[in-house]
Amino acid sequence: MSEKCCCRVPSVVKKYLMAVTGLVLVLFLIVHVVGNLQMFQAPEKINTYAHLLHSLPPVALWGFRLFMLLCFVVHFGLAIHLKMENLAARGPEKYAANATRYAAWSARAMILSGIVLLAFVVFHILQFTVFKEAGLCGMAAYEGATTITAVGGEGIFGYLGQHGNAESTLSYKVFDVYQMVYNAFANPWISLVYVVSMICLFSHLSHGVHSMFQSVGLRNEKMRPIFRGIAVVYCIAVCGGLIAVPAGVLTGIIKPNPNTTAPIVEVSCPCCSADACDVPAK
Amino acid sequence: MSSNVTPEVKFASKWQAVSDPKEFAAKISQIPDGPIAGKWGKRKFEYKLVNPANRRKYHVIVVGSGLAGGAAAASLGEMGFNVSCFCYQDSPRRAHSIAAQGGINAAKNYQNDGDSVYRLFYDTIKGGDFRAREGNVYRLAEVSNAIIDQCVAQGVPFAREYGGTLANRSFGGAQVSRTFYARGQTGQQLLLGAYSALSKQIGLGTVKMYNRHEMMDLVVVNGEAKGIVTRNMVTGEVKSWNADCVVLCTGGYGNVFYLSTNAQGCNVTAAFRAYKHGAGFANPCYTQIHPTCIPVHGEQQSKLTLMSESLRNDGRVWVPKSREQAKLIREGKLNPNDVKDEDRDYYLERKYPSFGNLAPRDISSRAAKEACDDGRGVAPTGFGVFLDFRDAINRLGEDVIRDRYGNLFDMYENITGVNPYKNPMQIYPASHYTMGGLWVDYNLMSTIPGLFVGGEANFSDHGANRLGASALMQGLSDGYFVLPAAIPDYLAKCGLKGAPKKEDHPEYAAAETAVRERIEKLMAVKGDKSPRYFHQKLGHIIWEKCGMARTKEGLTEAIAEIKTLREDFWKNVRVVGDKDTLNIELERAARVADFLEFAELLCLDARERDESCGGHFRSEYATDEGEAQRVDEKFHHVGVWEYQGEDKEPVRVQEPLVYENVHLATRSYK
Amino acid sequence: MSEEKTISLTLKVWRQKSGSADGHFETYKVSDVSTGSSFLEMLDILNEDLVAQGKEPIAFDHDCREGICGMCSMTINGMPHGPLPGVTTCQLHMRHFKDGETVTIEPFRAKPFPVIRDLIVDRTAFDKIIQAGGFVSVRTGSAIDANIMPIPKEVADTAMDAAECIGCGACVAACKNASAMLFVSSKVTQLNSLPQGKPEKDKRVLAMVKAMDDAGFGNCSNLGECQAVCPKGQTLDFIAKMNRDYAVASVKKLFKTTGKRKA
Repeated sequence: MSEKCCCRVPSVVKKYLMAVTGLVLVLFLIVHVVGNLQMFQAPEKINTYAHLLHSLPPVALWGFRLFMLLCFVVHFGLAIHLKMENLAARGPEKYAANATRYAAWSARAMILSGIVLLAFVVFHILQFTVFKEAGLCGMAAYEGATTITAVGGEGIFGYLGQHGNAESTLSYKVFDVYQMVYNAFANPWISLVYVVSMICLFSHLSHGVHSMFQSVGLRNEKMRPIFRGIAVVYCIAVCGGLIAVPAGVLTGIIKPNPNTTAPIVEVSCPCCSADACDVPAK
Repeated sequence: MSSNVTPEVKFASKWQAVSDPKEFAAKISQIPDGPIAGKWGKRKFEYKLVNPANRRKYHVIVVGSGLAGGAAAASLGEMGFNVSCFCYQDSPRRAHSIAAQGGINAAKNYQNDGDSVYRLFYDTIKGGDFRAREGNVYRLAEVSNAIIDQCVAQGVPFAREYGGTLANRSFGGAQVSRTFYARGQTGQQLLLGAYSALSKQIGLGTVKMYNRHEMMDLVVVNGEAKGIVTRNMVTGEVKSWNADCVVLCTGGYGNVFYLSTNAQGCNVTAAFRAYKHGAGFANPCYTQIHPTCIPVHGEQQSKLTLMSESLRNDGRVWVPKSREQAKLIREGKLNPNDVKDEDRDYYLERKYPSFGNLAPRDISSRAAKEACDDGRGVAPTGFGVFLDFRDAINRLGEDVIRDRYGNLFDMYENITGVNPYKNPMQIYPASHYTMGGLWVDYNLMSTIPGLFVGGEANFSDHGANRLGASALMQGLSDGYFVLPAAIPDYLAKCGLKGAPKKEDHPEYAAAETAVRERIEKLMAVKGDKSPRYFHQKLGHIIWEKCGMARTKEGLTEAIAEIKTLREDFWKNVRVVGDKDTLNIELERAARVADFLEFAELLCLDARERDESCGGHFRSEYATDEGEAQRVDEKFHHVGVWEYQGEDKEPVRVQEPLVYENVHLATRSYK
Repeated sequence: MSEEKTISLTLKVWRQKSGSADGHFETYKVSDVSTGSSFLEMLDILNEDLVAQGKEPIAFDHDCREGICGMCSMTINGMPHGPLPGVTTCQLHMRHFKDGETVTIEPFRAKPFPVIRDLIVDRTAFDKIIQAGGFVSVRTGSAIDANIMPIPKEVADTAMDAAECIGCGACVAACKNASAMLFVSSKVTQLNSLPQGKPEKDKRVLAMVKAMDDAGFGNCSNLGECQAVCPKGQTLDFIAKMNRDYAVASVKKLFKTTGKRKA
């Protein structure tokens, strides 16, 4: 074969890449949501879980983080690249009259919801990962510590034991993720940002998830409703799960951690004075 | 028009019949002797061949990219010839072959119902009212099977049985099921097959495709066709092209009626220009009026839409028995569903019991006209009959009918706004196909050496009437099998001297100049009537006086009216815009100008043929029952017209038809 | 025929003298149009009026006027082939418009479909895609008997569904990315589904997608706008099949047995 090497990636391959990186992000979200929902359990649960993740060997932790970053960058970078190509393909003159017969708004606004999500992800990582130990722009995210009683040498506590204090009767102080999240969402504005972003995520995923199957060629008229169903269930579960936490904090279902050493931010109401609100007490 | 134009090629004077018409016919038609089944094989052996290494040195121009042109260009390109293909559409895939609905015949006998090459041959001869050449028609039937093989191999998705074999249906007056079909879009699928083969060759560079180029004239060098002149429809550039030979596959002239089932762009220009250079025009009066079209709705109409003839397999054609009821229906005061069975006249079933609603096209069309002329037409204009599916729906259920004709029913409802599942369809005949065309011999070469003609543009295979599903067969037969076999023979005889060089032969420049002058002349009239106005007028004259029933007086009047209209055209036509840009008015004007001349030839031929046969029905020549009456002793021949020059009566000569296998019989479908 | 009346419309039509000239909208009034007329017949009427005034008529592509040749184009009120689903412009009838309505008529807009004049665009990019691989290579006369290779009815039906594409380009015009995936996938589906097309299956899909990319069409975002405007009911299924075939072909190409060792 004397085929010339062509550096341009074929359009269909770009779509595969979008689908595959999208799939990675979609799967990650499932894990993330399951992790988040531990907020509805005793604070020890999520705090141990977070501690476990942070105690992973740096290769695994950073390997995973870099992999996610790569997928995210490819997904987003390619999206921008495709958008530019697509805008160019329309040609110099745009339609004066526009009409849509079929495509949902969410599908047409992928780039918009994508950009919002990018901004959100940056905000989210800054808030809960990078600046978790300092306040972010005056918003509430305080350092704190809680006491965990280890009950055995098995499972995650056994793992914790690798730090050198594996005796079952010892206590540890770990970073209070639970209270950090609580404190963040206690601010309705922060919660609002999250809820709006999750609505964007819903919009993005409602097209993205079933579109993924189409891009890799797994769709037909028979399978279409099934994939559509999977996508809908997934979107509701994921976005519902993600919205549940701020909602839980604001409605008082999630209560502050009684064992925290961190200051507790009281849930405030943006439209009235903090006193008037029914604030769950410590 | 530029005056004193005389054709470069004259054939009529050489066509003075020798004493033996048989010998004469064989001489001019070039049909090989011997038993009919061996003729084509014999001829193929006689053909000279071109060495594969030399083929690329020959330049062949193909005009038209439909079934015949597309298939010929693809096949010749594949053989290694250097081919240029021209079409006026924006892509070769748009040629009007695409609109054929029903199917394509072949003598495969897959249905085990007694079909054979000979039967297809016989049916086609009979269907053509014994006015086609035996040799040509036999060849058509013979290659029909290879066409199906070829198309299937190309990926044409013909309908299939559950067992995976090809399905067939009975179609358009045949008593065997020999029609292969791809839903209601057989023409589309066959054309796309040819287009894909052509596209492959274009991709390989053996065929150069020129879209949006209209052939404006033929270039004849030393009495042989050696090039064409085209107008680039985007830039207006007029350019001549030299070649070793020219193949015209430019379709029929049905648009002379203005309203027809043809595409808007279909025109007679290429064929008529060839005629003016001396190519014989054969049997122009054989025009087919298709019985199942949607009736005209009003003056604003630009096109008549065909409903596939296959509808007649399940639909019953009727009009009310009484004029009173017909009048009530026309006025919308009576629902046709309320007309009792005994008050309905299923006239095809009544007149032709054995064929019933499947009677051939010419017969069905005329019967509809008779019913409407009798005041029993049902459309608001009075020109329409019912095609009723009520009984079929009751018998088979709506689902079966939807499965069979769903797309046609949808199309009907879309156009008329009437639901044909609930109400009977209204249909009326419309100009559909033209059997006449440029005269060609057995090798598909016209009277101008080097000018080959294929498909509907030639006259050869359908006689006076074309059977359903035969046009696709003929187009592909010409395109895939006959032209690619016959053209190399001509080229081999030309030798390797190559196409005439444009700079050595003033004919090219002169032809270009003539085209430019003609365009200038059209633009310079600056009158006050649009080209469409004249086309509409012309169509009206032809439909009224040279349509389904013609009379000598009517035709004489028509000829005079056409002359007047033509004069009016050259005095009062208005072509707005520039000649050097895309100009739809100029395109139309040039085509209408040729139709205005051609129409006269059409009427002359119809007036000259004092008989009724197939699509040509002269009211003077009818049996007592109103059926067509042929006059074999006088008209068992091909009428060929030779152009004599501007304002001169063309000369009509005859090619006798010699029947050695089929006995002339009265065509009866009773 | 259904009951007919006449309506009047205001038309905003894109006028552009040539591909290189600048275009603009012009407003026209048409009156007394029969609701039984087709949209193109309505334009014919307007054109006759314009010609009578000595103005240049609106150039638009059209030919068969029975919805099969695929030549008619134009975008009506932002929708290729107009508001009625499943039909081409030539099959759109005026009974679907309201008296007094304003209708915006533009050419198909896509970079690979440059405007030639007014509403006429150049769609040869589609031809180029077919030339790259939209065929089965079979020499004229070399075919085997048509019934030697049985094809299950369902396969033949699928191929026929896909083969109904008329190549009008509405899919490109409607796609917000001006993607040609529906057109390309229809041909790929037709030929790749049939046993006749199998030998060239992989080569075909790779070559056609490459030709599509070379022509400058946009990328598919699986929006489905193409199938919604397609006058011939082509579906996203075909695009999925093409995506699948492309993946298989790419992988096969990657692990292809290269044959004899080169010296």
